[in-house]
Amino acid sequence: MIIKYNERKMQPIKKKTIAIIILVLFSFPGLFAFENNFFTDDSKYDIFNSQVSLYSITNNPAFFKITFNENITKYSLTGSKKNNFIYREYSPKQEQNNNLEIITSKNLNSNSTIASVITYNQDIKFDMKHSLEKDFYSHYFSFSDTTTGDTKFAGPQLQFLFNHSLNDKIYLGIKGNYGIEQGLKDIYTQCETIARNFDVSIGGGFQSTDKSTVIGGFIRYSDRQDSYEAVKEYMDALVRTYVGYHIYRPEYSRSSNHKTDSQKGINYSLQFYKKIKNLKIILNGNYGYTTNNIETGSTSKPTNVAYWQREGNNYSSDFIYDFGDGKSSIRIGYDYKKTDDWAKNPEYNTVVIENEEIKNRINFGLFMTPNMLMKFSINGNIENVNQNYKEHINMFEYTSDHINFGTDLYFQMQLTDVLSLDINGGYGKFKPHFTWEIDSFNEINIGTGIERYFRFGFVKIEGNYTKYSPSDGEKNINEYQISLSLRK
Amino acid sequence: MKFDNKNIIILSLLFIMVIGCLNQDEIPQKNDGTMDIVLQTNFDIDSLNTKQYWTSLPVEIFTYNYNDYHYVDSTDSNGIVRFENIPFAEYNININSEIVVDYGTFLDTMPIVASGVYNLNNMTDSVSTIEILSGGSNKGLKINEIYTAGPPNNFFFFYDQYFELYNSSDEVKYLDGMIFCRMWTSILEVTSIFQFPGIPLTGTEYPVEPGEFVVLAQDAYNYKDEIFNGKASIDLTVADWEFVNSLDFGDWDNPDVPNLECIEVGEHREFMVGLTMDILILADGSDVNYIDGVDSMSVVDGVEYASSATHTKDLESYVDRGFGGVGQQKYSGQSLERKVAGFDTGNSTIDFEIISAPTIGYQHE
Repeated sequence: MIIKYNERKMQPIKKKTIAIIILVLFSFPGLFAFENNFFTDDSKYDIFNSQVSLYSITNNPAFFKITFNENITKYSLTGSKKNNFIYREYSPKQEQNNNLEIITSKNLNSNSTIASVITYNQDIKFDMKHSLEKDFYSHYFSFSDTTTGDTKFAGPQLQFLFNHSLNDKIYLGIKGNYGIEQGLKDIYTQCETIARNFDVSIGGGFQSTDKSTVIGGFIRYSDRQDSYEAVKEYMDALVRTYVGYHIYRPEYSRSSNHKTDSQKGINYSLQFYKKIKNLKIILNGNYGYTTNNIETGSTSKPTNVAYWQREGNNYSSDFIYDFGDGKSSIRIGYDYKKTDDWAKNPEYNTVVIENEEIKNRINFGLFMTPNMLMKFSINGNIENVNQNYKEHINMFEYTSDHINFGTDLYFQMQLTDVLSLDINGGYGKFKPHFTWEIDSFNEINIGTGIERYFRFGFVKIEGNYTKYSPSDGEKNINEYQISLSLRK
Repeated sequence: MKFDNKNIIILSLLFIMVIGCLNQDEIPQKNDGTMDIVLQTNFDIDSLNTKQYWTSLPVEIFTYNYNDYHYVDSTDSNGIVRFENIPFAEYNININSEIVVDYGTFLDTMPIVASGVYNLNNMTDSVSTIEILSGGSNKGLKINEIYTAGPPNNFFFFYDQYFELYNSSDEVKYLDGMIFCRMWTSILEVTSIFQFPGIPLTGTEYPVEPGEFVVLAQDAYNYKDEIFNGKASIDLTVADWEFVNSLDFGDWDNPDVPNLECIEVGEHREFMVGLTMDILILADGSDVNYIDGVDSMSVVDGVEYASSATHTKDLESYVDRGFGGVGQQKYSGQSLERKVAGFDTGNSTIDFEIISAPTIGYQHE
């Protein structure tokens, strides 16, 4: 095989790159994640392109270079406040999030591209009743006490991507993600939470000479560990571990109660892309599973209270038709996602929780560039969700077969040579998790941003407002977000 | 290091090795879920095993595995009680009642107690037997209540501890010269030792009448009003005795309440015990040489308590065959008291129960 690159020029880059890869891969064996989604959903790089792309659909690191080839750096500072005028029993009444993010992408040479996302995130949950978790309802085995207090979570996260083409046809990519987050509740039991994550994907792809066909695949390994320490409980601060949402195990009285949550996961994914004249077809298949061991008790004598396994697959097909010299496109897509959960009591080897969720979703979108000064897009989706959730200990069963839908609109206009304005809005209706005990939520969001070009880059200020109103009731949830960014 | 195919293959293999360590489990064949418990009661006194006494005995089962699962039902005329469609868990069984016994010439009440854990391995058996202890065989001076957990508070206050003695015998008992001790893990290891005034064994200055309660306070102080503004804790100025260590210059000494004095040479601490785990001994005072522990023959009563069900039993079984207080919470205001005043089978697991609030000088209902 002939490797077409300037070896002398590549030398220093290679060392740095490989050093980072090795550091991420092997210096932290068994490391962990606090944002490891079951299926990767990586839209960070979409700042480069507002159209749906091969990378944004497949998340294969080998395809990054095929999709994006600009050098770019973006610094952004975002603050948001969420007022939960309705909330679930163990959810916060108010939430605040502050986020600092630096996104970079650089073409090292014609063969290699490197990209990174460095984030520092601060989440504050106000008046959170009982929960010692960041999100009580996203976990079947949540840790709780009997106090109400504010909890602050904060920590950095680093995402790194390296994409390299061996020749014009073969692409390789690696993407790593490492993060650490610490949380502290401001009232006894003063529960301290430490979440760490490690997530790495290695992918490969083949692109035909005429660039009309791309085939690829990747393997993703994720590893996450959450650790909780609740100290010095007394009468009003009993520590409990829930099994599902209706039943809990009281933890024994001791000076400190611990919980560890050790999750590991694997995804396998295959992709196919074909361009026939103006039509692009993207087929994507993904299979994965995670295993999760939950232990509670003291650090010296932990009890394995649960083993939770999630398995699922996700298949999607997207058809994108370009018109207007490729500056406009219309898209239709179908997405099938199935997740199966089961959890067992390791002591008795019996199933305690089962959940099956199937989503069939149709997406459609229109992206238009009527002239050099305007961009416009409209997207919509409709999905059928079928869920069957069972708690075996107290014989609870929930079944649902319902439809969600959503639409969004985006409009961008160049006001002057250096100034542009964008406006976005959306409306959707969805049935929330059954623990809400609400039939459906109406979601409305509206936002605007203004961007100005300076000699040092593009400065943008954005504002967003989102409101969730239940179908029955007057109270709502609203969220305000403001963001300042600099893009070079 | 060259970024060639060889290195790529090595990196890929290492990656596959890392992810190859991950295994999936098979889903278990059985679901967790409901179960039935059928219990056959059986008295330790054969003559009581008749329909007359078997009928309508209240049986309680509860689990520490999960919340709010607590069931009470009564036996039928064959002494059988059934709990059906209850969540699958390990259950503690408890009977704490009394029966009216016909002695021929007169009727009298007799306390009955049973305690046990329903063994999940018994699932194959249709019926499990629960043995009922009748009466409580050991009479005499007993440690009847132990209040050590502290009142509800968030500043780690537990200084309102007290201990209650009860004379369950038919004769007057005397406290003269008796010792009350906190032990380490055995009657051979004394942690704190305090003594009543008077001459051991022969003194008759401090009598305890049959059926009388005696309260021994860590300090005879009104914590309820002085510290908690009447909202929590208790008034221990009503105590009959208080523990005082004259070498502890900060130790409160209520002049109106007589003292048990510390007899350990050089000891500066006042009498203070573990909130939810410890061992207490009441002995007749014939052996006060605490260096080698307390003579077993002198022990009048001993109790071990621990809040954790997985606690390893420490105290010699001839003093106490079990330990009480499983599930007791620190800073909860909970107290540990015998199920019936003076009820003593020699096993604190059976004899004691957790009550939500202390009962100073009387028995809970």
